[in-house]
Amino acid sequence: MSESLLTGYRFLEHTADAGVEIDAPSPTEIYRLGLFALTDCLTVLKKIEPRERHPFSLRAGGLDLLLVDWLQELLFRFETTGFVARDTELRLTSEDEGEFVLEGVLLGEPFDPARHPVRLPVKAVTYHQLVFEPTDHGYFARVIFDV
Amino acid sequence: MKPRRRIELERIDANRWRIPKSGGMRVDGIVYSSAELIDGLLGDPCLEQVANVAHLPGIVGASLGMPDIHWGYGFPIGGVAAMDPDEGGVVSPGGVGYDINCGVRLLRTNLERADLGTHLTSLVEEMYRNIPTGVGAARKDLRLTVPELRKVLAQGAEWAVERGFGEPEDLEVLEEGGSLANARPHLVSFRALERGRAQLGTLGSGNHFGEVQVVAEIFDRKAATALGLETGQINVTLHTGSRGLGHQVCTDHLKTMVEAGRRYRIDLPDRQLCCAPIRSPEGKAYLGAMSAAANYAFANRQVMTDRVRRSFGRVLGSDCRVDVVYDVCHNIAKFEELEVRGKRRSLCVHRKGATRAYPPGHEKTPEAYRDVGQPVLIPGDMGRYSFVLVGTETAFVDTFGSTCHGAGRRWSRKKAKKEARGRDLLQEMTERGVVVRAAGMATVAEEMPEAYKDVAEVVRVVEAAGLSKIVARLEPIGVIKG
Repeated sequence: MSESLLTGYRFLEHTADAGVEIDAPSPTEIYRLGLFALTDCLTVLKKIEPRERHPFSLRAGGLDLLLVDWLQELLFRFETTGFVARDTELRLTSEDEGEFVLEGVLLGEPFDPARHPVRLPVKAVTYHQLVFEPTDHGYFARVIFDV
Repeated sequence: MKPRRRIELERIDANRWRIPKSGGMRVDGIVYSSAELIDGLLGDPCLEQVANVAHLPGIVGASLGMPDIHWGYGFPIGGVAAMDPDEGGVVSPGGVGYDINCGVRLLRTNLERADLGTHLTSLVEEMYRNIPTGVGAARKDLRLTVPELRKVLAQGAEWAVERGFGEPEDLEVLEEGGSLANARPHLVSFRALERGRAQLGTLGSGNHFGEVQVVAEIFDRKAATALGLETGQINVTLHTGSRGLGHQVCTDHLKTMVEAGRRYRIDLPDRQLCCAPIRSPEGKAYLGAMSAAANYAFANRQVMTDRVRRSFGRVLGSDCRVDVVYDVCHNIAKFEELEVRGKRRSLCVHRKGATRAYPPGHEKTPEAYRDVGQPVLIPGDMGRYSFVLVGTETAFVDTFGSTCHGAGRRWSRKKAKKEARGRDLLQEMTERGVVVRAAGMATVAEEMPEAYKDVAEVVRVVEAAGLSKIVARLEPIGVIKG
């Protein structure tokens, strides 16, 4: 069995861009696996050490919109501070009027070109064909990256 | 990614195909393509995307696809749409893309291939040293304060020239003079400013490049002379945009527009097409911030031009002259005075992977080129060739003054990397006569010549359709990549 099936995410191939499909038992796990997938897209996930802890808090008007914001937050930190996330401790709560809050801590370390190979230069997370929906086994999400 | 619905396609003539208006489409879709190129598009989501764009409120004429059309998000890449603010027209960040004002600048020199002698490798190395490349590339020597960055966003290339990165004459030959007047720097978020502070004068990664080229063939002598191009001449092409700042502006406003679309009850087949009326607060805010990001891209290419000049000077001496031929945007939305069915109208033209192609005599075409038309710069791939064309009256009337922008990918990045395994691509490029210097081998693999379609077929179609005239073919001899 390939690593992608074991971990619950698989990369989509396309001529100009890249994307990921995620299956998970809960929405929280979709976000966590989304982090794994994005980091694995940028570099090699297993080579990142959880040396630093950085808090975060995000809010959006839907689980799908929150997924885009979440991955975008990881990309922003990577580009402006060089921080690459290895894992996360997170909590998802729903509020009034369909708002969701995702908060917790990112675990990771600064990007080091000597130890971390560059894979795909993901530049943004799009809303194109964005999916976040319940399934018989939990939840399914799809998100396309701009590279 | 497969299309979600079947797209009907009718042939109009040898180079045009119609997607008839149906369902929620407000206008037809029209795709410029040859029988050969259209074959490769059947079953591709990009045709569905042309139909999706036709759903946007206020769209005028038709939703257009250029011959280099391929799958994007929201709009196809190679998509053109014009919106009328008087008819409830909208502006859509997805119609511009993330890399706002990604574009191409062509520089000509007073050198011929023989003048480079054995200095080509040194020249490419010097350019590589002077222009940071790769993911998140940043400059240590040009980190701007926020007030200074806001000046860049207000003034564009003019800021760079005022700071000594170029000559005032450079500004005369840039699309819109290298500065969009409706830029509103105060509408650019702190996050976007943060991403842009140290990236001015950097190339970035992916398909961005700097190329040393030789003019290999002239097709239109009069136009070539007007543009200062001669066979055997050494030129440089730069392809880059607004870097992380532009991406953040797009990201910020997509989020706003997704919510605004609900409020304005705009029903669309793809959320990446999210939009707001041009005259709404959200529409105005996006146009102001997007124009500011476009100015950053103009300044970026201007600073890089200065670095190219310094590189040539250091390697080849001070007699070497490097002049700007032209600079085009290919991811942009701006108001243009256009002719629609014989009437002049002010429309908001979205070009996503498409180039403006104004005709001879147009007031926006620089005076030096007014007899021949606005230069159109079409890069191909790093092993074969690029083309210089000029705009036409047909483009002005039929395609809102627009034409193609490049070759378009044939292989996915993954497939290109797989094909590259076991091959020494740098050696292969050297054997083709091209010196390549890149931040990473992965990019060289992804960008290998075979990964792209043949741009010659694309420009053949635009010329056959009357959208542009081919002036010259340029062949690469030195490349810097991210």
